[in-house]
Amino acid sequence: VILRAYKLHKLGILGINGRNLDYVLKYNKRKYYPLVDDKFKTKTLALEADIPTPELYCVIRSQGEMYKLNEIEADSFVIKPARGSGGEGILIIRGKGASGYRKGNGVIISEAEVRYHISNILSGLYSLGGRPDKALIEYAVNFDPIFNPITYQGVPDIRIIACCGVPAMAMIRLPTRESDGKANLHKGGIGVGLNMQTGETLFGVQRNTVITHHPDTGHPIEGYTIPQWEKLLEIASRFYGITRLGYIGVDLVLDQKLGPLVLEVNARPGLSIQIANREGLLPRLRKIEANLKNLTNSAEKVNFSRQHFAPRPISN
Amino acid sequence: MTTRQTFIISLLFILLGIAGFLYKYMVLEYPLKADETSEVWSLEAKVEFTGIGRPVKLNLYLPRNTDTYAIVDERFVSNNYGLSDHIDSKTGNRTATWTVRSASGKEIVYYNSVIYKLDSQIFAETFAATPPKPIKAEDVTVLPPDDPYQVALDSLIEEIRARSADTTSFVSELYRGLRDKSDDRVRTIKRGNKEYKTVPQLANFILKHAKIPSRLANGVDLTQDSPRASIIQWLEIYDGGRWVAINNENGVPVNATSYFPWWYGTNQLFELEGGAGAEVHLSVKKNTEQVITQAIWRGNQVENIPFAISLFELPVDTQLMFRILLLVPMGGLVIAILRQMVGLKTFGTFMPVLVALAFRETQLIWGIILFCSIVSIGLLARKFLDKMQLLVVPRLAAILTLVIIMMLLISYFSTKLNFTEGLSLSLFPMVILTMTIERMSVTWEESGAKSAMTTAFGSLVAACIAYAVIGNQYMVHLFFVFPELLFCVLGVALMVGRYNGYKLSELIRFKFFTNPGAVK
Repeated sequence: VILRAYKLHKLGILGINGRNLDYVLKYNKRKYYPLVDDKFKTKTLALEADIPTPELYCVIRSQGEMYKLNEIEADSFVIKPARGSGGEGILIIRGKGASGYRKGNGVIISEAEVRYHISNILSGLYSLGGRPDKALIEYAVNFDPIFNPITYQGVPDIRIIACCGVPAMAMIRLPTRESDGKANLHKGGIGVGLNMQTGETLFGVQRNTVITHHPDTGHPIEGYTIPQWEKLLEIASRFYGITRLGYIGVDLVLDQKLGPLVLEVNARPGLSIQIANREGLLPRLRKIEANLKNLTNSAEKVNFSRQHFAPRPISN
Repeated sequence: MTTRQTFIISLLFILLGIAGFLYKYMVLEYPLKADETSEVWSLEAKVEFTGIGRPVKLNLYLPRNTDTYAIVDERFVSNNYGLSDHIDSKTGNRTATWTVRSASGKEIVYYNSVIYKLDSQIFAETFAATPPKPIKAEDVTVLPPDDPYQVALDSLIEEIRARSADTTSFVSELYRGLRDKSDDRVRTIKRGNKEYKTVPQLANFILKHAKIPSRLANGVDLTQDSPRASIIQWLEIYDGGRWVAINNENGVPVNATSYFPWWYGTNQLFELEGGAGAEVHLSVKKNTEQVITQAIWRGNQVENIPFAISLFELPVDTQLMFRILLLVPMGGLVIAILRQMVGLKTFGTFMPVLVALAFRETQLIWGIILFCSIVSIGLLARKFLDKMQLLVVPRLAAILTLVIIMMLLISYFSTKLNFTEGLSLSLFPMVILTMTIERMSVTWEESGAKSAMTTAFGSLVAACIAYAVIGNQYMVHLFFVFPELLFCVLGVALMVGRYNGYKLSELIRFKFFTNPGAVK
């Protein structure tokens, strides 16, 4: 046990306790949490800073506002809790019909079921600590088709961890059949590490196992380059100034037409990104902390990140 | 605050706790272990008589604290009688007096007390024995020296004094002499004192002549565990600053005596005016609930001990509450360690502690069975409720109701089937159970059965470990006697709070890095 712990320590793997004590508690002031815990607030902040996010169709704050559901003109939209965590409670609607709504995975559900889902959101079923919540209904992203070969339904999203505005590590999360079209790693989505310099996909990890091909589509995972990589990094970097949170995970999607859109910002980003990158976060974070005083603006921070955090050669 | 500062502060707390503990343990000699041999008895005197329509006055001797036994609880039960008690300054006897204007028919008066055998010198000293008054010349009737009776008496005392080295050997020699039926002197003395029938009574009389302070004690033998105990009488002599009981058979001082004195002298246990056919029944019962009694009693004794905050000074019911409460922080610490350092997943942070508290009442196996059955039936019900598409809060209320109904049914049927464990179910934290059912059901739906089961299992394991800590009698005693240990718990909790190392579960989660074989 001690040997294993020592090995992890040597590799610079960040554990939950280390993340919470040395990064989250240190860099993220409690009073700024609401800015990211509530996606509605994050969206507003992002809009003010000219950072694109999926267009908000409406907010349902109470049962009485349920009628807004029928006023939505768009055919496809996403219903999500403002305070949801871990992708819980997100309902993707891809079409409307006489018999009800068509979900992202093709299943038809009735309007009553959709309303039930919204009322569950409102009463706080998916929110942190069970607090009453509001439901956001927003534009359903049409993901850039470049990733179609390695995506099973759902929307792949990109997670960038930034420390004080310096992007430290990134991955793209690919939905699989196992994860029910969701990009969450703990549900069986694939985490793919990204080359910080180029935005190229490196290798995938599904449930702690390294994989080279997408299990559902059979295509190799390595070698895709994320378009507009620099812009993605810059967005992640700018959130430090916007939210004043020093250690965040920024979740983005790439829309076919609209380019990078910010889905949410997480003040307690998970640690699986290390597995997806086969690298510990600590050496990178320490490097950032050591050089922080020389980096004044986002452009410099992004540059620093691209220079220093190229993948190290794999030594298997 | 940096890790180092926190570390120093936690260390200070831990040292403070240890210092308090050591002071109590080394200086005040508080016991480390609950003394399982410490003995407690319930005594009962029941006086029955028939009222004859006249005013009644009943005097009953009551026991007092001795240097071996302490009375920790007393109860007087009677029907409409006035009650007063007083202590006779001359004999030191305590009497209760019941009076009533008029009584007719069968009357019963009870006296109940709980006595505790002192096990520690600190406490025993607080009951310093009352020294006897010096025996004056007028206390003894001395006949002319040539009277045969006086000759026999003097000669016997002389002879025994010659044979003995000190007071105790004098008494044992005297007992042997008095048992010698062939000794003419003894027969003469017995003839002259018809009222002294037994050896202790005779010895008491002779000791007075020999100017050795002694007294006759009446009481019960605590080794008899009987609803029909009899009063026995024995001799006590004052030697070395304390009263020593003398064994009736061989006249040897008994050190750890099982004789519990009730009153001194030759009077009867009770005295009744205005009634007829009086009878007294004594019962002696060895008590098993000693822990509580010890606590009550110590509450009276510790005030004079410096710097000692003792929970024994609190009222008993508060004490009982604190016996449980003091261990809750320990349970919390266990959960903190399990979650932060081991990485066990549980439903709710302190739910396992509350379940562990409930296990205290139900015993572990039953607790687990009850927990599992309530949660699984609750889950089935929750599945059904899900079909109705209810709002969250009313749904929680519905599940809560179902949980209560289940608890009711379990209690009912377990009582019918004579499983008493079901009765203690009431302490099961039903709101916690409700939330567990709800959260488990949500986890089940969203993260799959495996995740829900893992977390439920984790909660149960955490509850069992917490139970092992807080249900441990030794721990209960330790924390109750040494509440200073809470500072240690606080200190350790602070330290765990600054633990930034890996969780055990993370070693598995990141085994990818430590074990390249996992790469396919």
